[in-house]
Amino acid sequence: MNEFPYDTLHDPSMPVCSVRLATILTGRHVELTAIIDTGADSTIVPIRHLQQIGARRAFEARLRSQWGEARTVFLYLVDLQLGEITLPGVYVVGDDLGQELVLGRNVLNRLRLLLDGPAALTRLLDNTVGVG
Amino acid sequence: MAIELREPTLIKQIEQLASETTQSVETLLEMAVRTYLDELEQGAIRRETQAFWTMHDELLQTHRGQHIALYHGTVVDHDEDVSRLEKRVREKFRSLPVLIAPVNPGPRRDLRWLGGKLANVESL
Repeated sequence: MNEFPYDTLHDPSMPVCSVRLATILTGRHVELTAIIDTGADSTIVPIRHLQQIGARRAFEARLRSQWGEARTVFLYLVDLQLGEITLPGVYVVGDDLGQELVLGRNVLNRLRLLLDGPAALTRLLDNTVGVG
Repeated sequence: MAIELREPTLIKQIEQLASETTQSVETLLEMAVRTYLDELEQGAIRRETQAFWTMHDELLQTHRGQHIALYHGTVVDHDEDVSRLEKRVREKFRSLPVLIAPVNPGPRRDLRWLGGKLANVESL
């Protein structure tokens, strides 16, 4: 299934998609809804989901907002699955404060994605995967 | 594995806290140990990250475009495929904190999240 309805609980409605988050280390996975955010350099995952699947810290970085605020964060390695597409070994930011999974450009730039606003659908156009 | 605590003051303190928070002593101890191990891992990965950036110019000569594994400031493995690397690292180092990072040209830079709300920000 490569079509995902927008989240209409938000006003205006928000493009989202279903994501399966996993790690080869444990074989555990979680199914989550991700916000599509072209303003994010990196994919951001609430840390409790990373702990749930047993992902490990890979390295430290800093995350900065458009207002210049910055936080120290850790990146984790995970496998992501969107529809029929699997992206192994993706570095994601662990978020110890937020509750939402944000799909950033490190993932989005590897996909052919159509935000079909009038139909309120996110469409993965095919199974082509780029290097990002 | 059974673990025995020997410090009477510490035992009393844990029992009192468990009683006040209506948690079992075992749950409380597990939480405390998990938090402690988590802090140790954060500190270790932070130090490895500092070592990574200190070595970055040298790494660009030897491992450009690859992902490396760094432990105690030494490159212990590398691969173009980060999943393959992570699997090998975990088989060898199990739960020890090992940095895994891509070696790409360019200076250290912050990740940007335009529109992101960062609570509890640090002073710049």
